Amino acid sequence: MIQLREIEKYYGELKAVSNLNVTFPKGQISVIIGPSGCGKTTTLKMINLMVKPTHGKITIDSKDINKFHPEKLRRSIGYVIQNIGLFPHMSVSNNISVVPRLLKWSKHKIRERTNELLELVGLDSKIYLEKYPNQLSGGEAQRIGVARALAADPSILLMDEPFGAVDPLTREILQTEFLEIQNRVKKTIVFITHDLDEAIKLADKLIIMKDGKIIQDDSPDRILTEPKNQFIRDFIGTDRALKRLLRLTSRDHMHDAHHVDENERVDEIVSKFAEHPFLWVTDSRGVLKGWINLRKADHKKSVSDEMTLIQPNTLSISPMNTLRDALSKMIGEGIRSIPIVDREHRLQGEVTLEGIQEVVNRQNQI
Amino acid sequence: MFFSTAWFFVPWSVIALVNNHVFPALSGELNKIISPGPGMWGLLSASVILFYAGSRELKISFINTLFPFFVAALLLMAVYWGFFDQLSLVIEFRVRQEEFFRELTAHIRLTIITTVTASILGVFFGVLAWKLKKTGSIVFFLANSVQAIPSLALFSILILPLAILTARFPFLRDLGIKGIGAAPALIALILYALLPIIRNTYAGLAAVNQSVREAGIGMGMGKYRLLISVELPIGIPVIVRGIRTSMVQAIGTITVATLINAGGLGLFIFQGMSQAAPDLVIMGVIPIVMLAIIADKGMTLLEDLLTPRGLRREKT
Repeated sequence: MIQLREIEKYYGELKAVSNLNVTFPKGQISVIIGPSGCGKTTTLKMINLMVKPTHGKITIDSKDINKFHPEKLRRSIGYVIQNIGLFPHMSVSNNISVVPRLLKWSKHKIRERTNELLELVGLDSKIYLEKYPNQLSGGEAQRIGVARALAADPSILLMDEPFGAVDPLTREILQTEFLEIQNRVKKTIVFITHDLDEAIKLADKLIIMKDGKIIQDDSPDRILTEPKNQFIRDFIGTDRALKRLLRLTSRDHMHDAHHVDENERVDEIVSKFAEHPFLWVTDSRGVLKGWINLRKADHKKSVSDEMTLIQPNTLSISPMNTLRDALSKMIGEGIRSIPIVDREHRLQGEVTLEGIQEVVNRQNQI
Repeated sequence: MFFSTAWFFVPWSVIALVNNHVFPALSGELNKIISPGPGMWGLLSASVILFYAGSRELKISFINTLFPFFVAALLLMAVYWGFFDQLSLVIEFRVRQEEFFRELTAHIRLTIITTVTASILGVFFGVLAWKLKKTGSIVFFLANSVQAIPSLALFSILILPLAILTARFPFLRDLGIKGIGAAPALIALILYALLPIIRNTYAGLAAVNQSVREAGIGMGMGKYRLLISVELPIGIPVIVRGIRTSMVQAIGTITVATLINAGGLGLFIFQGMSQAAPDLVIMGVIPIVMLAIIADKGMTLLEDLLTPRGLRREKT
């Protein structure tokens, strides 16, 4: 747990932040958001002593950070910045092992940890270990940046617009992966962004800042339903209902999907699914292959002859995608339900338009 | 471009052909000593210049730039075997062989001492200038001022203080330090060599991306560690380029250092000029040009070797 008490920071005459009282709870993602120049980066940099506050006290697990040696403190806190800042002259493995090497880990332990981290961020260590940053795509570089910050297994992670420099599609994938990783590692994360969708999607706790002050500090749901003042209302915009869908993952709101094996014959299954003519088709391992409309299918043929193929990763989403991703894909493709598949493309369930509507109705009643 | 090097061969082959070894009968009817005129030396230097201008333009591989050295080696071997025995330059060289190698060694020694010392001091001051911005402006002011003084003037300026110094502390004289000679020459040469190295060290460090620097600090690197394992490795190609400039510049300036008795190949140039003996001048010029080219190529190779893999341009 990180606590900031009565923090003030002046640059000469200029007041960067003032009267800052905030707690970043253990094992949660706290997102700070606000217009540029609102003091969010300054706030972040004070936590690892890269900026020294003019007044006030910062504690980590009730210990005053001024009691630590700045360099030692920074080695125990993961740090990711917008332009990633990978060292261009070091290979991926050397980039990841910067902090472990500063801490003088054994070579064997470093190698093991590097492989483990690459796997955690979803990159094949055989391919990536010896690559150099100039050979990586933006998304890959960002994953390496996260792996590097996690290298020495710090309990705290500071992230300053980590996904700011990648394209929107990659950003969404990275956010989803980031949530999956956080589910496993449970770090105390302070995350800075200026992208409200990103903030709402990731935050356990959302802090909105303006002119060096905290305007509202609450759960994203509370901020969306009870904005404190006009500034917050303007800031979160009019599509609050849609934004709330960002908080909900497909995994938590999917239903069982009706599906058949591609090897079955149409006439054998048609009576069984009389009420559900529209079915997903999988192979014997459960991998999504396509869909079939029994009303239009030739009863004498097998399912695989009559189905419409789905290319992998086009008409499907992962369990970690938000309901808004699901909704936007359904509207984009003009369909009423969308299949949820895992990494191996096995069918897990489906999300339907009606299902999303129910969720929204239920939320509005609360 | 290779035609330019081919031009090398035409006049020289003619000389070699009319030599005793090949056509003794023919040579008997000609003058015993052949002295090429300025046009031929001009042709020779033009072909070298053309080759290097072309090689840079066409980005030819390192191996190909070695071609002129191969040609030069061939010519030297021809001299050794006596193919050019009637060339006035070769006759002059045979007479002053001992002196030539002494001055060549002196020239190389001065170059190496200057480059090594200036590299150490230059990188130090460059880092200092980058880390402490206020000291930086003073360092640059001084280095720039030195560069503005003509070399001969700088050599002369140093004579007086060194003479006074050695008069007061005679033990310095035992160390070989005098008002004239190698000591003032080296001091001046090192001062000259400093600016390109300081400037490039500063530029190399300044070129390190701010986010890279910030990532290093944020991960717990100290100032010293950041310099050693991030800033210098990234800046090293630029720094070596500065050292290369200084080295080539030093090889040229040492020529003038002869005038304060520091030795070096400039001796032949100045002697030749005072005696109106062009062969003597050329005997000094050719090895100086070759030294400069060797230094340039050698340092380029070193720069490539020291560039970290991740910063090398992808070879297509």
